Amino acid sequence: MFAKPYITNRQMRKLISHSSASRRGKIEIIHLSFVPPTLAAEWRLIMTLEEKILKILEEDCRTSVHQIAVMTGSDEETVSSIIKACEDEGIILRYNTMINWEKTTSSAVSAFIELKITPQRGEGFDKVAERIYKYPQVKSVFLMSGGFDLALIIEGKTMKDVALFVAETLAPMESVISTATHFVLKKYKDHGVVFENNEVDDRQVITL
Amino acid sequence: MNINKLLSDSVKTIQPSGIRKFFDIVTEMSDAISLGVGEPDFVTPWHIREAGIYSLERGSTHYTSNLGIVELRKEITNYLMRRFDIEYDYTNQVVVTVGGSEAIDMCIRSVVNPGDEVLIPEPCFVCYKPCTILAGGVPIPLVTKAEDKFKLTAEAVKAAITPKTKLLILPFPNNPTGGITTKSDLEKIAEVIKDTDILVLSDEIYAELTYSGKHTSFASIPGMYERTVVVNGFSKTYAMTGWRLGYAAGPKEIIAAMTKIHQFAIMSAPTTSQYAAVEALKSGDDDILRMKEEYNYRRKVVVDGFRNMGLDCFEPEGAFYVFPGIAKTGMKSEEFSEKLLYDQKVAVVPGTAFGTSGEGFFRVSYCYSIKNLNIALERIAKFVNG
Repeated sequence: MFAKPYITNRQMRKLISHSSASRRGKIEIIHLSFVPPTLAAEWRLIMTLEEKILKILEEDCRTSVHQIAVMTGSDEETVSSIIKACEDEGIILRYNTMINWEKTTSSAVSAFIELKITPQRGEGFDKVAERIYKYPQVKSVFLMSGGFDLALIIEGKTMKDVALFVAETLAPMESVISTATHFVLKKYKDHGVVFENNEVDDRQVITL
Repeated sequence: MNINKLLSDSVKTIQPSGIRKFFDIVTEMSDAISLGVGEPDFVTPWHIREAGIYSLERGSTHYTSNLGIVELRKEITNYLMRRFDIEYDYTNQVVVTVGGSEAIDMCIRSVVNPGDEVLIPEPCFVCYKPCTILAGGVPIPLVTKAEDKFKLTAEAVKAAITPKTKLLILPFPNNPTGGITTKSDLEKIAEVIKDTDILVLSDEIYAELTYSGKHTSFASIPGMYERTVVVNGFSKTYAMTGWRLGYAAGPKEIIAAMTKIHQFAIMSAPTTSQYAAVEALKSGDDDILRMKEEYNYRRKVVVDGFRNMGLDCFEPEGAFYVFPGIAKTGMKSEEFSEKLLYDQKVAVVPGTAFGTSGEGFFRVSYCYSIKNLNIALERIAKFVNG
């Protein structure tokens, strides 16, 4: 029973229902039954094959199916089917590229916007958020705990673009109580990537 | 004056490291890829580095006690209990050393008299033999073989034991082969030595990098605790090679003897490193798992790569090396490594650097990004298959 530290997507699907939330909950239960209690500290990293694949793709979405199969000790067919299933279920939403636009000639500015909102009866913040995220200038929208309600990331060609969008589009919206705009001056690290990494590999070329 | 005449006989018998030549060639080549580095490519996790920096800011820049700071020794004993189920008294059974290497040297010097025999599994890391010779001992190689998964067999130990045998070294997980010893392997070895007076130096520096199952410490085998010195350290586990910090844990009489050498030769291990190590042991378990996961991916990529080239490649179960065989090429290890370097600009270490039984093999470290490993594998494939 311990020989197989993770279960395949297909087996998983047989075992549990489709709802994403309950699926995650149940995987952990299945996991624990695979792992002797003495390995409690290690079990956290014994991920399902699906999680391993997702993490590898999140790090580098161009990693080939063949490469992933080798890395995880699986086969290409299984890996492909898991990726396909994750795409179909909306677990994998898009394959992105991290670009340092600062190094290109095109210029763009981005800003964090804090919004205070009056929630609508019966629909909470969701409807307001939707009305806001439909604007293409709005790159991200998060519902926040704490001193304000929505956090937005807005991108525009110039600071004026962004400022006008906030002043003319966001601020006048009925349920928006207040806005606070913070322009991004420099990106040090984003999505785990350091933009100007100054750590060098200074290892000796051969050591025994 | 002939200055060479001043050198001691024992130093003169020690051969300098066999890789100097390669080292010089690789250093000259600007576009060479080296797979010869025996240390993690990861930088020490930031929280550990910060603990070191913080200790400097606080002014902790003095000697520590010879054994090492109490807090660290307590954390070491907690760790050994937590991970390997072996219990030590931090007051007299643990000494913090300058890397695992110092612990190995001191352990050998603490017990070996001139003429005593030291059993050393081979291929192995390069320090055991010279340390034995410097202590006046006689190194007895015990050859491990690919067909035995590079394990040390109880039969090999039994066949090598003589009345002069003083010490058995267990370097597992092994550099360069990646071989490990399981609990049942160790129990068989224990059976062979239980009625002898042989001490065991178990070098478990790669313990956390065991990919199939969990590492078993020789000291946890019933009846072996009393005769085992466990050597471990921070270099491989937490990517802390440059901090130079290791430790030995074992019978208090041996630790006391080692501490005598340590206090006169070293005084105390680096203070900054000791404070960083406390942080590593307190909150570094997740770092170990993260790095191990990454090594494991690379291990599979590299083994797959060599097998696709048609080279015999034992799937290593520990450490971060693979040790492919080159019988198919008809070349000797040194010749293979040198030609590969000139031809495809990939540096590997000939198996013979780890003992004569390493002939017919070469060592590859996978402490590199998968991207680099793939480039190197492509080049090696070109060399092997033309």
